[in-house]
Amino acid sequence: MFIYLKILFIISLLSTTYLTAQSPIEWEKVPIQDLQKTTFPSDSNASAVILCDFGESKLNDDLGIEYSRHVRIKILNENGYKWGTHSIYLTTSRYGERLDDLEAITYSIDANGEIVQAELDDDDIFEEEITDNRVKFTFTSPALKPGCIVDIRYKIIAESLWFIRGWTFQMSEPVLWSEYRVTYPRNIAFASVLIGYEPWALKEYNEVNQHFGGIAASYLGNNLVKCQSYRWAIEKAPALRDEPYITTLDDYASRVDIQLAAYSFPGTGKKEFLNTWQTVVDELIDHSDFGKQIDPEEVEGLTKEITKTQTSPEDKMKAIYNWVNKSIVWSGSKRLFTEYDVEETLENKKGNSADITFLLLSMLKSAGLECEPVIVSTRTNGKIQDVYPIISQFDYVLARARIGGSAYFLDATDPLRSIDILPTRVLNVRGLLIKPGKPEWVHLSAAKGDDDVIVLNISLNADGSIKANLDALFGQYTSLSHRNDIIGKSDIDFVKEIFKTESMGLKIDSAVVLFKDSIHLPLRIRAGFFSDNYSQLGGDLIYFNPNLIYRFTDNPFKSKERNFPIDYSYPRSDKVIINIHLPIGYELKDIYENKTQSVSNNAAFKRAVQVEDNLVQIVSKIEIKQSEIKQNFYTKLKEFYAKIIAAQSELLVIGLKQ
Amino acid sequence: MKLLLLSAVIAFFLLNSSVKSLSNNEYDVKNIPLELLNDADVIFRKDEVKFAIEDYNTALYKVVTSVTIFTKDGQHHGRIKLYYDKFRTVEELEGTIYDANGEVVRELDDSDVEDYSDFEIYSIYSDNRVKFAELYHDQFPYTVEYKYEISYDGYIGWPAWFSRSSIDAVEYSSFEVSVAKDYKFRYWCNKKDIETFITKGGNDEKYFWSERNLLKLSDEKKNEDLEDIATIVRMAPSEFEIDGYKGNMESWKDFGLWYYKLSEKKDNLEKTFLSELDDKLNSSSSFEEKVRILYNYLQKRSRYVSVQFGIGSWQPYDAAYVHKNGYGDCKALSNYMITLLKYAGITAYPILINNGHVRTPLISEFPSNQFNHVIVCVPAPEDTLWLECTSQIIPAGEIGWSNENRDALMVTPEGGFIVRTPNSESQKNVQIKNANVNLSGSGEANVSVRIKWTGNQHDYALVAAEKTTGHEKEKWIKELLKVPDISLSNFEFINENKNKSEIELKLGLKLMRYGSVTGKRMFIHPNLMERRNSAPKEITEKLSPVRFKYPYLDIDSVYYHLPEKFSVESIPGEINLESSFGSFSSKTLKEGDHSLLFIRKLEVISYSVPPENYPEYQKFFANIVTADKQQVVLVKD
Repeated sequence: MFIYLKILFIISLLSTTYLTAQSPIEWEKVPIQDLQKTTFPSDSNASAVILCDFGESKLNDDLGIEYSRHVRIKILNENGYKWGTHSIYLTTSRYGERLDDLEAITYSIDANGEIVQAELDDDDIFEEEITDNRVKFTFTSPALKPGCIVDIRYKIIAESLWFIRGWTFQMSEPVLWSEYRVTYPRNIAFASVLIGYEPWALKEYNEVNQHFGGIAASYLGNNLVKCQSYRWAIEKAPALRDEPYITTLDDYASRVDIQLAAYSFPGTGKKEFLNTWQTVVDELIDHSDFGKQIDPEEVEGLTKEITKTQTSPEDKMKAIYNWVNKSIVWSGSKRLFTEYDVEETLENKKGNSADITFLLLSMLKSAGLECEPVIVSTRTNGKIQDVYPIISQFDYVLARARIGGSAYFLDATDPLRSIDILPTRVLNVRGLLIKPGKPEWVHLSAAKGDDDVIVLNISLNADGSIKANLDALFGQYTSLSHRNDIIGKSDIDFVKEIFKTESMGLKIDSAVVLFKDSIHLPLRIRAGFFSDNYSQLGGDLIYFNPNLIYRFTDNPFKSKERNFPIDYSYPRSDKVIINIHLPIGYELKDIYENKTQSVSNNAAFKRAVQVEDNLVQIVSKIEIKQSEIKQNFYTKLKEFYAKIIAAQSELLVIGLKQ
Repeated sequence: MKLLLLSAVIAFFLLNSSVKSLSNNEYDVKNIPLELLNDADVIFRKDEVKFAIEDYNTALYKVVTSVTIFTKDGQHHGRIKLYYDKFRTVEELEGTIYDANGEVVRELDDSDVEDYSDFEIYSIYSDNRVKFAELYHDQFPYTVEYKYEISYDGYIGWPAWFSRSSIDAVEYSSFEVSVAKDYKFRYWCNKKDIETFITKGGNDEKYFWSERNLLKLSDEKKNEDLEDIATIVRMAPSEFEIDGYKGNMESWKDFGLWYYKLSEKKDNLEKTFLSELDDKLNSSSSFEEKVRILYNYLQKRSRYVSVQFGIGSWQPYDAAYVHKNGYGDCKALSNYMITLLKYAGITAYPILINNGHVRTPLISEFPSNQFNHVIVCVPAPEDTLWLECTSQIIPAGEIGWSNENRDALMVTPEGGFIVRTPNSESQKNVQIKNANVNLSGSGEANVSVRIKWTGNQHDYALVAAEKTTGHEKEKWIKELLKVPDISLSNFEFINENKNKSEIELKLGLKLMRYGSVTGKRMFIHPNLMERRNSAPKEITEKLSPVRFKYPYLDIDSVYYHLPEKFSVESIPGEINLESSFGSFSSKTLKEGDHSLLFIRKLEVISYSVPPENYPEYQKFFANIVTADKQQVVLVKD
């Protein structure tokens, strides 16, 4: 990934040419040849093509931001009709945004080869209040038909400089040209970062002179004002289509993120909002919905009560974690800032993730433990650009405690999750510690892999019937997900479900799930199976597939190729030990081979077979050794599963000894 | 284990009460009858619903609902979600938490009530909104009580009462309806043995139903229809009014008349707009052909877009709007279709229908709003035609499984009456898969396949063929075949006659390791493409029927050319299953020394299996799963 950082107010080069570039497309001027085209040869999967997406943000006379966008979309076939419907989201809080001059025209060619156009009626624009501060405008373009062009333009006026908008250059359909321009006086500074895999067709900086009126003039004067003008564009960007096992598509789209960094007007003095990670850390420490929410006094009595029997700091930490985890219900919202203070959270017995983390931190502090918040961007929120110091990149906060030389990351949002496990949403992400001193980054990952071990003892009878006993011990993440899934189910039903016994033709005569409530222990299952018709009989032979459980029947990977890494969240392994007791006087009539297969140091499959008298032992292990596997191993990984499937569909051939 | 723990918790509270008599605190857990306590995560304590009908368009819905929560797993029952829109207003919402002794712990703060719009992915706009609140406590057991009021102003769908809405225990549930004396109240109950108490006062009449001490049902009842585990009372207005449109619902005739009036004069399309159709219409001789021309015209010109707000949930956009904008929802597109037909002198009517998987068939003796969709009926002396106007691809006259085989309301100028949509038979909904497999000594298979779908089975393939891109088509085909590690060499959908519900798919594919080779043997699954992997659950007592979307017939035949030097050691035995709802057969035949023929046939002839036949159903499909797993064993010479 290429990341370019520009702090825009540091001007190193003055452009020698002065130009006001034309907009790449004009309203109400759609070339007929664009309408005549019916296909898009460079991507046969495309159902629509974004011919041009052009946006501009500039300071207006009210000292706010005027954002305008003009997007022209060619709809190739009926599947592309969804590109006729658009939603525009606005933040309508004080000094927030409003929508202006929304227009949409659909162009197509009639039977006589003439251009016909249909305009969107204002009555067909729907405004929906999503929450108090959030509004959605939705409309759908009229008279769509294959081959038509949808032309849309609108403005978003923001009263405050804080609402400067970024731009996404890539879409789920191909984009021929996407361009964004930002122009503003040198009294203002915006910080921007360019993200993405696509090469930039344009990356320009120019100086221009501009007149302002209204309030802006009273700050900037009535003369020509020197402005800086930025231009970014991408040409012929391929469609970005969703694939399985990725963090979020946003991580891969080319885009520019922008935030207000500083301004300096006569009379206001210089106001800086963003310099370094240091200021981010310092600001958060003092923030009323963040650092100020660590309130050890409020929880002093409670903490004493909870930790009164504990002496070691580790035990105190565990007691506090367990108490918060059990007592406060997580609302499901992932937040960086608190909604309630510690006292209210204690009373409500619920909170968003930040409310819970700050209660936890307050109690840890009150118990005399060293601790601090760690802020992260969760996996679905996208990767942190650490060269780009803005708070809005983050969406989540958890706690770190330090005891002696050890650091513990704590997240008390799930009563079924023990202290040493982090939720998958914060795995393999970077975290920033919020504590006095120099900014410090940490990497969050699973402390250990997820290792399942299963022992299966099978007695095979001469009539092909079987009896089997299973003893399974699950890794921490599997235990966690099983503990969630078993809620409201009987042990037998749960065992049937996870081992798919009914589909395997197995009956179940006993099942017990152990340590359901002891969340610090691995979950364990003991079960007994039997079946009269599981084996296949043919002549004097019994054909028998020993993989009663954990058998792959389908390859998780189906696409031919893949452009993004394969994200497993954490390393994992499944080890299955199968002991098969053959009927007396019987033996294997064909070999059942040892197998090994690996994908470099990323994944490994091993099967070892041993035969002793009438006991056949098969030990197999499938390992994923990395949290993330690079896409260049994709084909090999796909092949890896294919070989496992083939190996697992081999049958033991069993017959009377000669 | 859980059960024991809970009982211990409860025993603790029971023993702690010095007085053995009932507590004065209503929500004291000691007041819960012992028989309800068994294995409970939650117990619904009180569900007191009152509905006061003031006149033909206003009513007030008042609810007190409370639940005692015993475990962490039951905590989500402390949440409440109230839906409202232009015709329903949430007047009041209060919440209180009580501890085990029934003492107040805390009350819901107004600022903790969230309010947001209720997204429906299929609508671009709707005015539905939600109020949401949640209350939690960390000392179990505790009780959450909500009191709320919703006022109704011009609404034709009144709420129904369910004595229970889950398998959990219910201590008390009641429903009281008071009706202004001169208003004719109508209700319907699914149970014949429940008593309705009616009291007549000076100005109003009261109707009352209640149930008490409903035990927790076993887990396997979770998937039963609510109709089969609860008492349900449904209500409907007689006279009503929405946005100034008055109607009466006492008879289907009048309900139909109301809808007719709503959509009257919505056929305002200038005749000149349609003159481009004249040549085609004039040259077509038959009535079916004319309908088809107009239906295809609708499909080309329009797409489905849903906008629902106010009276717009009932009143269609007019034909001119649809013609101009090229979109509409089901009622607008149906109205447009009827307008097009009218242009050609053909009379057609809107059909109000409950689209989707029918759990509750239309209650025809209880005229009320039981519909969520509109289609079109073109009556004819011989072959009446039915048109689903929201699809751009299906052939004229096909309405799909989600509309077929059910009662619906036909709307005519004379009013509404119940009609039944056509049903289909297994022989109409067919899938035939033929494959030819060349197997190599290493287990690699080169396969050519031809699949044909007809009737309802053709709909899915049609969507794949017409509505997906090349990339998605490939994915669809791979999902369809359910064989691991397919590499597709070529594929082609054959859909020549778009007016016939029939489509074919030709495929060439390679399976790198179809046979798994060990030592001197090779194992193959003769059932290449139609392996059923999951069997229905075993259930001791079933209450609701099992429903199939439609009757169907699947036939598979696969011809195998075996590799040289291998001979057949073992083939699966023949299996034939018969049942009251269908049949199954599967066999593998040796054709000479080096080829095999696999034939499988599954036919379901009914739309549903009654609950008493569930064991037969379970066994039937479990046996198919076992049969589909059988393998052929080849051995090297």
